Amino acid sequence: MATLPHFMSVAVAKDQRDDKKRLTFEKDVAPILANHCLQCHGGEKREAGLDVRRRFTLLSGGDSGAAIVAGKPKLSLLIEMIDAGLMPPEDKPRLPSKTISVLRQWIATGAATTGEKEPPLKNDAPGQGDTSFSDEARKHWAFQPIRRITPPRVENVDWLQTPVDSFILARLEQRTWQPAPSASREELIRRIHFDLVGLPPQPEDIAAFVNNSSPDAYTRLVDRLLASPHYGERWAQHWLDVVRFAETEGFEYDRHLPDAWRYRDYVINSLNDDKPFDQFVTEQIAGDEIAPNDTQHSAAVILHRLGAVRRNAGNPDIALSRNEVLTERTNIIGEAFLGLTVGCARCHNHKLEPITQKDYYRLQAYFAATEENNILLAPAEEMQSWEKQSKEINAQIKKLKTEVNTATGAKKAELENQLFEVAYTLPTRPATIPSIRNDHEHRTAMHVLRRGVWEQKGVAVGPRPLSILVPASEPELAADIQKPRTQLARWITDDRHPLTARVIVNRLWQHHFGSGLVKTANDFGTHGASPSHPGLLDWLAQTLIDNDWKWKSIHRQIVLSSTYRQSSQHPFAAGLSKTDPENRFCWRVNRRRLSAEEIRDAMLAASGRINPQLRGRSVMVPVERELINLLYKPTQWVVAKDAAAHDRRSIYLIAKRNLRLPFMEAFDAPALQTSCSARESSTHAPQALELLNGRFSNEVAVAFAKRLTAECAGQTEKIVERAYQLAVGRAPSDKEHRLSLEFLQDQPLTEFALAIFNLHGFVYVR
Amino acid sequence: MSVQSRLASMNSVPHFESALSRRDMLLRSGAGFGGLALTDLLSRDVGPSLQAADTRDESPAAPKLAAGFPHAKNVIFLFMEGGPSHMDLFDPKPLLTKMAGQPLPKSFKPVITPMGEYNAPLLAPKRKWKQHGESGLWVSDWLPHTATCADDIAVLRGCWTNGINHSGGVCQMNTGVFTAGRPSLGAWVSYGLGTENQNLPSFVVIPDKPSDPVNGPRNWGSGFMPAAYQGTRLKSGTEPIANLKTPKGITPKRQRAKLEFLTELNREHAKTRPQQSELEARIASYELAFRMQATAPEAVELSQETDETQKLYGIESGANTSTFGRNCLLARRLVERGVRFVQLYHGTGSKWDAHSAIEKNHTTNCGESDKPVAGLLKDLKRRGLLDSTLVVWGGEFGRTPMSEKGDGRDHNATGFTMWMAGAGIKGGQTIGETDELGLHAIEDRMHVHDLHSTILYMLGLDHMEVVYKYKGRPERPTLNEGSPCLKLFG
Repeated sequence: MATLPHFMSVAVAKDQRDDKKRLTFEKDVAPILANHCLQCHGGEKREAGLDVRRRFTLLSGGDSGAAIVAGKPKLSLLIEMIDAGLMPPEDKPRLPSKTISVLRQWIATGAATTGEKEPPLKNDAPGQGDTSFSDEARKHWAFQPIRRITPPRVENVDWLQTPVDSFILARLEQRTWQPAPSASREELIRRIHFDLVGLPPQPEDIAAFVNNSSPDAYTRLVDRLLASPHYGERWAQHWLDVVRFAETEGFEYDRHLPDAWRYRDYVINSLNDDKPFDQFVTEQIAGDEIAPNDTQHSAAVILHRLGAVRRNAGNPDIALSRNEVLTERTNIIGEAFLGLTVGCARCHNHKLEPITQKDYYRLQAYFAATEENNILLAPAEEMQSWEKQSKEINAQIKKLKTEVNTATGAKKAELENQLFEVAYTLPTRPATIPSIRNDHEHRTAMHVLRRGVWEQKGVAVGPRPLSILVPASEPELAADIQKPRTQLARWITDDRHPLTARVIVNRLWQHHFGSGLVKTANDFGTHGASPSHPGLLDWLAQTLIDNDWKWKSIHRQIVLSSTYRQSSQHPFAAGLSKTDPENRFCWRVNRRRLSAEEIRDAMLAASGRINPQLRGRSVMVPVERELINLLYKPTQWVVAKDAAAHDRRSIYLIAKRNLRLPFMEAFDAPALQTSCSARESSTHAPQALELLNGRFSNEVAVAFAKRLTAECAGQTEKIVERAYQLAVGRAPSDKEHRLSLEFLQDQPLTEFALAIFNLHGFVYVR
Repeated sequence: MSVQSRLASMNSVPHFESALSRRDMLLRSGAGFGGLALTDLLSRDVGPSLQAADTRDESPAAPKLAAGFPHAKNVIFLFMEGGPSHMDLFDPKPLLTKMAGQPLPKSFKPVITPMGEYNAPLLAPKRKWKQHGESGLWVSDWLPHTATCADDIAVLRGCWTNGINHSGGVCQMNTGVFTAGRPSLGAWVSYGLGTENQNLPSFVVIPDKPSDPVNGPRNWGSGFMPAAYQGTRLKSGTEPIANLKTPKGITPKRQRAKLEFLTELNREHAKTRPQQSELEARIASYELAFRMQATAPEAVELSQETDETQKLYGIESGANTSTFGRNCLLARRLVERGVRFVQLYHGTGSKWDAHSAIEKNHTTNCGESDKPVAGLLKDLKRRGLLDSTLVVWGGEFGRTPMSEKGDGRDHNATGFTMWMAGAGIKGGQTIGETDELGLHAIEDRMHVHDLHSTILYMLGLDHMEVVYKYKGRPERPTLNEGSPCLKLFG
């Protein structure tokens, strides 16, 4: 300590000595920069994200980090670039050496300004900060506030059921197009059933609805379905697609997250409760910060565990893995909530969107402290005894495995069976929530990473929303802020956020009509599609906000509309299709092929085998041993002991990344790797093979045939009638009836039942 | 459509073109189940969101004219999974033998290896080396059969990649990058060229073990492109294509009766909805399924081959070459029938991964694969198929000159060897080199993107012209990087 005063006195003396020559930004430096740099770095343009108009903008720097380091000219990028002859660019005059030494000296002497605080930059509009966004990007429709819009006037007011119709009809009337006639009651009940609950209507429901002439029959039907617990099951699947829900980590090991199904149930419950969407979002982003001891909140944040996780052998690089995990957590926020492809800015400024690389890492900074946190819901002793038991069984498994590997032929098969038998005795893991928490002590230091490579650290950043969406003066939060994700959720769910409400109402529209008002549901950026009905999109978004962010308010506006109740056929379809082949104007309702889940569920429902149990642990159904053997650990596949569980709705089947059911795969179920904003609807021969020859269809066809025989007392005519009612939702036409009877004359009923599952009328809804 | 306008339309985005739309075809071919000119196996009618409206009726896999001057019609990619050791097979390093036991000299640029074997002593190759053929190509005694094809092979010694572990490396060799999500090369080829045989998939993948390669199906996935372009995995065994067999007790007659009944009902349904092309597509898919049940088993039936041919591939009872030999023979039968891209995995599940006991490991793997590979080259050649078939051999990376665990080698992404043959390639030549110890590629370096662009080039596709728009961004198979290696043509 004795040396300290001495040291200080030297420093002071040095400071005083330099005082005469002390340069300031305003007096000495700004004029140089204005002459040589400002044209490209400040004002209109901000090349490489650099703005030279203030000392503070030089300090915060651009894409390559800080332009100056006070007191250290050698470490200052500004000087480095000039010395290397890289700046100013070739076609511009070099700086005189005297000028360069002024800059060097200004930095060496502390890079001072005249005043205490520099005046802020004048333009504080979003996207005007330290970035170089074009006017066009700043004015992009999706970044503008949601407008409060009055539904337009139309001629044919009789057609209007909800304000949605005004927007649709106004556009049709502009073109003197007529909407399609109304769908028949049979069509409508089948459509609304699949749409809202994902299951076919029962023949009794159809009859009741068709014969009910009361004016509010349809409204009552809609209300009944929206109140059904199956509503949550159907619509949860849409959300699970978006967040690429899977219960395993993928990659080679495909480890199972303990009880990840709790997230699926959380979503189902939230939707059934009509939980306000802003709350739904907030709980998923920051549930652990808001209510750390609440199981629902802990389950909500499983969201952050849903990305694939690499735990391969030969991957010792913890920092790299951490970087990958953070990347997953960040990208999904962009795609799911903001409808922006932020992931592109991981390695460079987004080539298409006004998102800088710095923006990207600032978004990632909200997750810097986020760590896995498996919460045990059972007593600790239970866990200990589970560990003990599984350890013993695992030892047996290991022993058997070595034996299997060396055995051949029948012996091998026998040992393999034994192996699975033993694996089935593994006890169920005590109840757990694969949650997350903040671990500030081990917080990852966030930097802009050059080319996205974790070793190439650029400028350090803290959490901040995307600059295109906030005022330039919006401060960056401290890197060690205690509840960073609460801040993120607050920004995303702000009523004034231009994207959140628009993105979600567009998804709802998409699942009712097959295609969104904005076709690119995960991309509302400048290179996404433009909305077909911008006014309607804003009206829906504002209506959602005005109705406390409740989805069911939007469902009602949509499904009660005349637009939704149109037929899928239009008398002038041939002509209209030429002008509008994709039906962007909604002059009819699109026919839709059922999703993989709907097809399977509808087969189970028609055959009567469906098990309607709600919620709970995910189910593994029997699959070919060959498929199981493809797993790194075949013993991961533990078929549910209770066979009735095999007939539960598809949403309860385990979402395992490395073993997707071939049936579901054939019908375009998503790959579970990345966010799926829209299912494909492909048509190909393997689907036909699956429905004709596959084990599941043939088994269910047997059950269907049994049901038909039992319910129709073996009378063939009745059987045909009933089969159509159960599977296609209507009576067969005369011709269909006749052909069916002919077929049944020399073919067994199971073959007829199987054929019914292959009908256009079964797999399509109109 | 004239050739010129076809070429013009190929310049930006490959279009889906066929002489007849499916609708025309259905109308012209008349009813009669099974009596129809068939569309392709994976004739998928992709949803409207993915295709421009004017092409929606077309099959994504309809044949397309290549933009360049194709040398190859088909590709057979022999993937040695796990990383074969180039210094022990194609890239002799006398200095390595001399310096065995010593550490890597400081003059070598440090590398990251997954197991951190950077400081381990250098391991001498135990191989005997000879020059082969008229060309004098170097091949070690681990591959005596491949050596007999020396004059047909062009060895690429300067390959390098970024993925240092199996997952990343295999992913990159298939998709160009080491992280998941992009379409595989075979999918790009299917997209760019379509299929030649409308009865078979254009992209087929056959692993040699019941397990999948590292990463599973996404190695042959279509990423962000429509699923129609993805590879079809054939299994070994009795049912190479899922559900191709009718269930027990269902006779062909019964199956046919059911399909006729079904088709009649579905036609009835479609008749009242004339604008709905997917309904017709679906009817066609059932007809195709029925035809496939009849035709696909023939393609995969190897018993039609003579004993001599089977032996050429090493298919003999009890032989360790039988499994891979069968797959190589199957590959020939598939390209003969117009399958565009066949990928065979040898050592499925990283079996070439010789971290220890490389002698034992590579003796086994070379022993299993060498004869089948040579058999394939010879058989293709004598049937005149080699001129139109590009054969590619290699793994996801090579191995280090440094030892691991005393007698093994670690992964080496910075320098390794692949080879190509057929499709007009000048055989018997070596392109590129690694440093004196085989650690870094230093001459004529070929990144995975270069390899991919070369393969595409051989097929007549300019890698910068094969474009798929995704999220508003023009995506290309090589991420806009890489260039074809023209030295291959001499």
